[in-house]
Amino acid sequence: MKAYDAPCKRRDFLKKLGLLSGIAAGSVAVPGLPGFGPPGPGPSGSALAQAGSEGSFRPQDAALKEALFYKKHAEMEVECELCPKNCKVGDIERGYCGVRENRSGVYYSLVYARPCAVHVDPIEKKPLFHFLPGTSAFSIGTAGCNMDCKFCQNWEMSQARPEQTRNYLLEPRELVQNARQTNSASIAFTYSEPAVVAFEYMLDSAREGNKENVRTVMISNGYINREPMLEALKHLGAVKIDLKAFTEKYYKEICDATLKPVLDVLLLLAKSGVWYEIVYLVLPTLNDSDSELTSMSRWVKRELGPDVPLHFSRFYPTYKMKRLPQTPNSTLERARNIARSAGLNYVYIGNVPGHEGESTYCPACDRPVIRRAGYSILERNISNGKCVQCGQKIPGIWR
Amino acid sequence: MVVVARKKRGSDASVSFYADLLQASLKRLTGAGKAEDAWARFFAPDDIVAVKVNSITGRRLSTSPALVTAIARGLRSCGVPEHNIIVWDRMTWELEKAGFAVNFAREAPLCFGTDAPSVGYESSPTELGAVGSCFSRIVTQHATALINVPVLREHALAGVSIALKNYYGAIHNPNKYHSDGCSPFVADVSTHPDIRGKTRLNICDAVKVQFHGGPGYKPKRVSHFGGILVSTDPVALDTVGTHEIDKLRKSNGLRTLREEGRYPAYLSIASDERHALGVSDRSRIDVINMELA
Repeated sequence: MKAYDAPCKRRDFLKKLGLLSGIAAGSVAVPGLPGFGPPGPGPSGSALAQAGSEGSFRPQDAALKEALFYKKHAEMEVECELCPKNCKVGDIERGYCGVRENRSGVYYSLVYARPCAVHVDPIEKKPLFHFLPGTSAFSIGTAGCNMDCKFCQNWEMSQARPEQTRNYLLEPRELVQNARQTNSASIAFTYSEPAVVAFEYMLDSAREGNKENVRTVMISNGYINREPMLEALKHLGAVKIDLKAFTEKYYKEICDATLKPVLDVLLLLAKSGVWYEIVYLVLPTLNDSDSELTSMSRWVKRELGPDVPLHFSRFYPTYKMKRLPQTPNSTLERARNIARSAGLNYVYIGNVPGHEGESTYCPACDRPVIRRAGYSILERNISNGKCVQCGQKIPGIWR
Repeated sequence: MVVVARKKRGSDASVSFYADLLQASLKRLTGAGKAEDAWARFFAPDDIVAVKVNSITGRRLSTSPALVTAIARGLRSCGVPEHNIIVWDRMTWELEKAGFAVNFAREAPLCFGTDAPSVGYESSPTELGAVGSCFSRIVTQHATALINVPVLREHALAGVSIALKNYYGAIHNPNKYHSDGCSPFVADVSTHPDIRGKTRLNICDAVKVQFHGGPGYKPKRVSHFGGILVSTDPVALDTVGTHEIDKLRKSNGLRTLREEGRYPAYLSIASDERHALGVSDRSRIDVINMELA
């Protein structure tokens, strides 16, 4: 019996791999960082209950940074142009994300250099499978998100405001230093949606990191407008986009967002030359029909090409989706088969440690190029970006 | 019934100014002969009464601390001990900035935000219609009774921000609920069983009214009104309050909210069968206008 199929042993297996502790899964916490507060909220439901336990957070105390990409209107109103929500925000109000505030007609980010979660993660956890495999990513997340996905695993951060999380102070330069000290090859803006809502922080960190050969990766829902995305692409090393589903209905009802802008961002990425991968979290009955998976896979092949890695991830019940069961392996395998039949070369199964779908296979000779279990690499059969067995070029950033 | 009580003179917004208005309003609302009897219709000595103010705009247009002092006196008059009164909002620093004396001790009414140590929000969200939020534990765990004390102001996105919207200050994620004129979200928030069940009075501070440009303070768009609005029905209070805002808009050369297509849709939603939070049809609301000397 394969490990992932053993019902009684699964929990022990996950424990062994550290997968039962939410953000902390596979992560190493970073002690002794400057600023206040311990590492950010875990999955135990404590973050919001602890709000303010470090004393009353005053947004005026934060390292305020004027936001990029916004317009000023009459009556001190501003219009955010960062994401497709295009929030119109009155004086003393915040945008939908909860972390950008209008103060007398000037729009500010309240999370610049204020991550609430800081960990060293394997890059495979993002997941990025074709980008510096086996390296660490110095991973940070801030409060806030521009969606409200009912299945969010990190909702205590993503749906919180910065005064409700316990935050570090970590300037871009310090972030890069910490990445270097922990031998991290990259900095990941991850966990919630810091890539979009902490856009200015990500950009400045990427600029600093590029000076030191520490690349910045954007782990994102891809719900960002064209101009800011183009700006970000000038500085990023890699991008992972969560494609939540392939219908507007799902995006509206489950995520409080829209699909089209995400597809537009994927099209931008396809032309950009920046490495990117796609994750599709499979929710039983909601986005797992044959027709939807087929349409999505064909679209990816047609518009983005056959070599974009596509990860089908298992859903676990949480937040506002506690009544739905976790995704069966059979569903994930069906999704993978559909995508491969559509002509995609690199299709993975995620959140099922030990599954053969975690490994990379050479599309020419079908043999494993990188064999993985959880976030660990068990075997590498790749050299200079080529399959050692047949010489087939495997797309990615390998060093 | 909504009592609109105003004073011709003495509009210095002192404690006694508010106390006079409160006494007159509550006696009219309850039919009681004495103010303390009126307070006793709503509160018992063993109640823990949480007074939800609106402090987001600082001293310029927040709930007046003098009004809250008058409310605390009223509560004491019916036997509620001072340490059973909690004056609260989202953030402690916002309360301070609005002129409230933050107090964690037990000698006087307590005053702090949901962000205070050991307070916080519920650890999982409650789903109510279109809303999914963690509610302040002041509402869910500490208080046995609530008094909602908003201000009277127009709101660029919601149309108005009066009693119903004041409870956005009880949830952890109000930023998620400002689209579509805040409808139906404003109404949904107030269907939380603890808000619906514990709110016994709505007392709107209407000494100053922001009739345009809210929620931020715009001095040129603020008018003196010199009164308070009191009701047990938050929807009726908001409906009457919206009418007063519209009157001020017209007299200042602005179009009404309805003419601008910004009349708060959440009012009729709040009064529908599912929400049943009160009356939004102004013709069915008994409006008592009182003008005190």
